[in-house]
Amino acid sequence: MSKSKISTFQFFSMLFLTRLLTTFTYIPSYTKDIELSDLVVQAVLRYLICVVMMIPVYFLFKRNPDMNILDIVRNKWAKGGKILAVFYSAVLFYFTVTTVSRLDLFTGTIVFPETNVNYFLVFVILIGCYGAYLGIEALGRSAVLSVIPVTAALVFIIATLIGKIDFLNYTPVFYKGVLPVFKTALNAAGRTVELVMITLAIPVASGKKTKSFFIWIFLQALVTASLFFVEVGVMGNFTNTQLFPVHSLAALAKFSMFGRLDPIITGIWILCAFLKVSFLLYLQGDILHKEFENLSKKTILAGLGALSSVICLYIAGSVQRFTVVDNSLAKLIATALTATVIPAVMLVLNRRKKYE
Amino acid sequence: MNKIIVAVVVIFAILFSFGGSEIYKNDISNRLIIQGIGIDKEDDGGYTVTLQAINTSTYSASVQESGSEETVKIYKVHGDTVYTAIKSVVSFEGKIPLYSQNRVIVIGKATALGGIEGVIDFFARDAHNGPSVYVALAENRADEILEAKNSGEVIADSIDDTIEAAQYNTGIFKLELYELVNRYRDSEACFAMPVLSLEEAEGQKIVQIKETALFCNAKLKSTLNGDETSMLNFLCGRVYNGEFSYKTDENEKVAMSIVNCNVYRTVKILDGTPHYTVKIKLSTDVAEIYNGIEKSLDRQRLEELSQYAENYLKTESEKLLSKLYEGEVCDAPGYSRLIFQKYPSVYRDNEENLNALMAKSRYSVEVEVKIRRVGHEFVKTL
Repeated sequence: MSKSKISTFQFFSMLFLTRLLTTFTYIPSYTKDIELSDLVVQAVLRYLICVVMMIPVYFLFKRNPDMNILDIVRNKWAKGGKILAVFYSAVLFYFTVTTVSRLDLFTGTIVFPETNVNYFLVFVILIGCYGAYLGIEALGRSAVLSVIPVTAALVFIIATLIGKIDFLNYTPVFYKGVLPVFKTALNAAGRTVELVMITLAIPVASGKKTKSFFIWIFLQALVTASLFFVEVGVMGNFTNTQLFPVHSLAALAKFSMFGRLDPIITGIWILCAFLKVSFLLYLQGDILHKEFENLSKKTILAGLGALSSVICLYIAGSVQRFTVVDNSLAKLIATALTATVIPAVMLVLNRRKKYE
Repeated sequence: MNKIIVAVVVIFAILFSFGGSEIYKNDISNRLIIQGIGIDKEDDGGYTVTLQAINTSTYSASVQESGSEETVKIYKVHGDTVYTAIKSVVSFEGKIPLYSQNRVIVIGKATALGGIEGVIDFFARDAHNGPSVYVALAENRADEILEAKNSGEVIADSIDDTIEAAQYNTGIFKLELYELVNRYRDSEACFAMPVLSLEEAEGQKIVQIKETALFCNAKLKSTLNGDETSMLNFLCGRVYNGEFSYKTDENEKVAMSIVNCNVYRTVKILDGTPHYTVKIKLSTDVAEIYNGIEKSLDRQRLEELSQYAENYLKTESEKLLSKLYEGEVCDAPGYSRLIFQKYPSVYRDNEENLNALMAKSRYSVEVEVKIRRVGHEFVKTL
């Protein structure tokens, strides 16, 4: 892992913003099996699942606070470390591609529906590469600078919409049963790439990590649940007819001379996308550079940028391709393997070694 | 210097990335800025769509000075669907319609009678159509409403302002696009929307809100007059400001200005029959007492006035509930949702025929009116 250090506040601010992007860009087809009020329930449940998924990581890092998962594997099995490094990079690359593709879907549907946004897509990846090249300290500082205005804007939008809530829009909790709610929450937890980020990058954060993790989880659950509560109360079933309901919700937020507040959401969205893409690319660059030292970070980032651009441009051509790539099950498997199963296996192996 | 060059390159890259090679499409001079859309169903099954667009050429100073052109242009186009009709405007205007500034969707009566579900999809689907666009019904044809000339005023603007006034006027029931789509949540798809009519005044045609239309299964079913619309707003908990008036036994007309209104709706199922209770709590100011100038507002009289107000609101709202659920069978206030929330299994059993369940339900209204201020009356009383 890189020797650069950032504070836990910077680290979790970054995760807060990257996770916010996923919340803002959620698509109702992910939640089609549940009734509207269950959106709020699953918003809390998904973070409880995230906490459970992180239990092996907690115990693993308790014993090895300065090592990430790959360092721990490498200590035990050098060749395995290399294989896993490539695997982790592939998982992060997959999330990079789906993040950019979803941003492309948003931009091409909402912001410039009649324009070819391929240039924008490539530009986002380019600045993502540049952000990754600047390093974790720069990203950490950007996150801290961004988190305050983003949170303020979010609170402002929610506050202006509270008066529009119609309580008749809420549905009985678990109307279609508990299982669909749990499955939706599990899928949402599976899309939480931040768990993989923690597994790989928590050693770069200095400070009280466990406490910060729980504060992050709590705030994330609070923001997501509040947003969904307001969304369901204001828009009701209209939510399910919109590709990006959070953007439609922001279009209903009006305040004084500000006719519509959706441009604020668009701004937040692009800011969060920049941070997320940068951080994902940074982690990939860092992992691959360590394994393939003959390749410079610049070269690796350029290669990743070029490859992700080509793939994203291919996906951008059709929404059908996007639905194939942005697969909840694939993400769940990828996240569960990298953030839970591999750390759990390492934990068991380490404990056995200690016992022997 | 290098940093400046990099900054300039980045700015151009951003601009280019937003527009790309098709940046001309976003050029405002190539767009037809739509302010109002009217939809009329024709006998051939197609739709005539009337577009009221901003005449961008009037922004040039010379044209404004000469006053030779109207501020708006009207386009009437025909197509099999709303979308194909709107898009056909490109063929003779050479500009791409831009709906983000659209203020109102006016639906013709013929369209409403046949059901509006076919025409709404485009508006919910298109990203440029804002979810807060108002939806209204034309008393006859939608094109008549949008073609009305009113001292050069943009009719769509004036309709938008009039409907917006619902927050100050209980006699107007406003409906935004997202609310309309939301009402498709129930199998019966019942909702209400304002009815626009044309009135002749001093040689001009003025668009007014005449009444409120009731829809069931997304088809026009009936209308409510101004007083009934006020009651519908009360029953829906959508009264924020505005006024209401009533007569006392001594034939005095009393006008009350609403300061605050809270509505609580509950349902209980007793012996298989839903019993609804609506509690309306009002805080009001006495705005006017016609013929009342010689009487002082002592405590007893204030109690009398609030009692009259309570009786009036209770009687009128119960009358409307009876009309809606026993007569028209239209769940415009959305009360079937209360059964859905509290008794999901009962809702599930009756989901396909909610109106029948609502028709056999019992309704009672309790009203509490508090008089907050009486104007300068205390000068006289003291």
